[in-house]
Amino acid sequence: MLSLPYLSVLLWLPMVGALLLAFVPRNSHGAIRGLATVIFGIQVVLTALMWGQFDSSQGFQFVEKFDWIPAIGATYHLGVDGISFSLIVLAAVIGVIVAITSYGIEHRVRDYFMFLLILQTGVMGIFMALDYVLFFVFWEVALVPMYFLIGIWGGEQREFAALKFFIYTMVGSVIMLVGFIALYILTGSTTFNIVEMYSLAPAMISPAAQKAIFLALFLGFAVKVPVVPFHTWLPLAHVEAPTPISVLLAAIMLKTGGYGFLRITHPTLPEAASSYAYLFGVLGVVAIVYGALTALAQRDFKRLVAYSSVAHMGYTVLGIGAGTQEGLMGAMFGMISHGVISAMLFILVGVYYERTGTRDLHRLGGLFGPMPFAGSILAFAAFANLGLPGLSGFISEFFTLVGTFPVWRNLVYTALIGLVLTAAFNLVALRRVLMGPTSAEHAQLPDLKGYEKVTLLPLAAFTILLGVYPMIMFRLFDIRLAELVALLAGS
Amino acid sequence: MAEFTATVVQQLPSIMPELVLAVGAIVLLALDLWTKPESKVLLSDLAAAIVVVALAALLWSTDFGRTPVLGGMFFADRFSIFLRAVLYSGLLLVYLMGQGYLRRNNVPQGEYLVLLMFATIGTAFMVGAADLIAFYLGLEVLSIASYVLAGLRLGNHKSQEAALKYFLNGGLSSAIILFGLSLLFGLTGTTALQEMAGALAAGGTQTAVLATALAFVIGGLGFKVAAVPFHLWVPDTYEGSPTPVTAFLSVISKGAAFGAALRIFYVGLAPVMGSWTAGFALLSAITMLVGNVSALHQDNVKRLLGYSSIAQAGYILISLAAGTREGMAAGLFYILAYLFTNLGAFAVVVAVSNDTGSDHLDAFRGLSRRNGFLAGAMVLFALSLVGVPFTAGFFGKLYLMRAGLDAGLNWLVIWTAINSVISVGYYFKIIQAMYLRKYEPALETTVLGAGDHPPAMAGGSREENDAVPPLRPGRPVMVTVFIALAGTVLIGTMPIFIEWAGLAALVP
Repeated sequence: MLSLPYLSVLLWLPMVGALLLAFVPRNSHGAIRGLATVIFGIQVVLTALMWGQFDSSQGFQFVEKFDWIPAIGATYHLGVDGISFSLIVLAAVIGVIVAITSYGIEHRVRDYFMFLLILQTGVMGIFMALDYVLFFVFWEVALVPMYFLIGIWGGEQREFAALKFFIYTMVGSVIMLVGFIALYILTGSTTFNIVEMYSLAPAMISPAAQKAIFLALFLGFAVKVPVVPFHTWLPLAHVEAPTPISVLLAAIMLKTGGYGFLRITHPTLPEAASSYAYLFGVLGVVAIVYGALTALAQRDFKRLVAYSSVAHMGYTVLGIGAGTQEGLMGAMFGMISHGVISAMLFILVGVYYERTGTRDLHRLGGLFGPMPFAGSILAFAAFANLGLPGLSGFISEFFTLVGTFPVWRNLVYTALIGLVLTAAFNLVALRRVLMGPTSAEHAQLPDLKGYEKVTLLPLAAFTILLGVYPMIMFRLFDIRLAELVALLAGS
Repeated sequence: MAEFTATVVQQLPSIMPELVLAVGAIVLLALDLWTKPESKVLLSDLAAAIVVVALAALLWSTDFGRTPVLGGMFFADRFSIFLRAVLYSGLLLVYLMGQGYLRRNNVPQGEYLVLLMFATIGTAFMVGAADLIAFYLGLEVLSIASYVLAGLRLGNHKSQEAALKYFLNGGLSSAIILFGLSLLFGLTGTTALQEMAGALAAGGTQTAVLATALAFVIGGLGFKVAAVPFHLWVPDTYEGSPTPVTAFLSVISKGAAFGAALRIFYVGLAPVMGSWTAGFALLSAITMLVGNVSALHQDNVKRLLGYSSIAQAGYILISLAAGTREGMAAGLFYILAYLFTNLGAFAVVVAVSNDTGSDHLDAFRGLSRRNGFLAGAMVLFALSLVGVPFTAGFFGKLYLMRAGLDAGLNWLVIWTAINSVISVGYYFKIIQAMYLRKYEPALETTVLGAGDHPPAMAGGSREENDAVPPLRPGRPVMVTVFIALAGTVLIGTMPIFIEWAGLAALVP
């Protein structure tokens, strides 16, 4: 195959696209949407090409490493292993879907797509970077366009939501930065390399300092996941963001937090990770139960889906806490699965909101009749969300709980309560939206348009594919996660 | 006599840039008498050209290393060359951004150009000083020129207030620092920095008197860099002065004071480092907090940037609190990064002020629709001041934080992180106005009273507003913004600048 520097191209292509957009006249909406879609499409093609060459037994691949700031030991170091590659595939696929879903934006279209492309570069960079400084650069780069995307194109309270999101995440990330610098200094101030730090940190840092640094890093990632109680920015941000941005937030941005745990905190500081494992387990279960309960109480459809995200990310946190092979597999797979399912849900919320003008579950109703296609996909998505066997959600929940059972039986029992509550809120939402009498004003609503089908059907297909043949993803990261399990068990 | 002449001739190139500026200033002053008001803009171009020549002279000048020249008065080492290059570049940008502003705000061009040039010569001697007397002379040249510059908006009462407040505060602080310097002379028997270090290292100096001397010197310098509680003059002076002068004060004047502080403390007072590092750490923490919290309430962009620069001074003070070479390098780098960022921000303020006649936050409304480039540049400057990556400001903070952690100042570093988040609150007010608010034409603006009245208010609206009048600033201002933007991004991505700063830093 071509010997391109795949990762750099993948990384910088959206940024280049954003710069190109500056030269497109701001009124040529068609050209703008076309260019953006092409760029996201190229990203999907690139990841497909990379998949063909990916070998999960080889450690980090497609590595590119150049000196960047020798004075402090920061390098331009990119590389992917199974964990990051699967997330990059997810980001590419969701990226093109978000681009197509964004066709509905009519206001300041060029600015919108420019911010979206810059955001995509940031997100890709987070998953590829193997240098702490580079990682932090992309971590923050992803924050800034999000502020604008929520603040300009969002709902009623968009400015507050955008600012709250930015400040919340920034508090976490500056504390994380202090943690990074501490890692650097305590290992002799030689390098910021993530991979080298795997061996340097446990050897050179005292256990007490390791715990302190772990907490600092934990804070940064916990805000993103989000781990309860650092989740309060999420409902507001999700609800106020425009539909495509909610999709991006839920499907990708939340995963950067989980990725942080798997890439940085746990492999670098395994002793501290093991000592805080039970905390992870508890916080995970709290999120599962609390998220589901709160979702059940919601009247706003979008808020319900937002809390559903909190609940699902709880499984990821629980699985990481358990530290067993099945637990980690469930956690990792859960991130992918949730990315796909929540994307479907948020798109559908947008579909219904755009047509009826409301997200109030008490006013929506009887919508299966006028929009059977949309209704079918919503039902499908709701069942996927509650973990119906045969669909991807079941695999992730099953593996997480199987992985946790040998370690903390009580937590599994509590999580099962959450499982029932999850089924409850999904079915309640389904009933409220689709069943019941159709009001006169809703009787003539148009069903899914072409571009909406183009976004939803592939997502549904992935859900089924991943549910029936999870090996397709497992194959990517099972070896890497096994290494992590061994590392955690050994300390 | 012949030997003396030979020495002078040999050492003259070390201050060639300053001589260029001095001669240039006198030439400008003379030419000003004969130019008609319409042709004054040529003087501005000439002034910029003189600075370019001075920069060239600087880059070609000899590095005399650790030995002071000119009778032990001046260091022409990498530290002084680095800082002088930074300061002169700043002066060039200040000249560029000012052209249109001066006409609109009734600022006499000739005097403005000449005074800035003399002030910069003062800064050169401050950062290159090998002797306390030379430092004080430089400080006074800078200060006196600055007092006048602050009041150069003729007929504007805010400008007069700015000048008076600055003069009174400055006069007092000059007296304070002179007293401190005289105590140091009394303690060590010398005003030359290297000999002073030797005397202090020999030991036996009375600690009470030393502490007093240090306190007075820190106090006097604290005034110049706008540290708390010596910052009270800043908001009014920054608001009232002509905006390019505010830019000069916030960056070049402050940078010079920091440079001088780094030199005096790390060279002259190095043996008693234990006595002053803790004091600077405390000063840094308080300054950051007061600067950031006070900025949150501001409506006038110049005052906001004034408090912002107080907070930024707090960050730079970490370089003095660290007591290590790393700390010094970080401080030098931050001055460089901060120069481009802050000058860029002020250039945007000038552009908006030229168009709307106002310095109020509301004048920035809808700037993203009126001039996408200016708004985007301002976003990057704001992000750089906050410390978000891809900008020079991020790396500046990173290096300062690293130096701080290395020196064991963990609490201060965490405090810096918290303060960076607080600062988001007010920098984002500007971003919010530019991107999230609809443009509203100002109802009450007068050229002389610019900045006092907010334009008419309106709620944020999501409608397409195609009838928004574009903002077209003059070419010099655009060039300034562009150079500042390029600087902010390049310094934030290329490794060479931190290496230069590292080379420039002296071994304590």
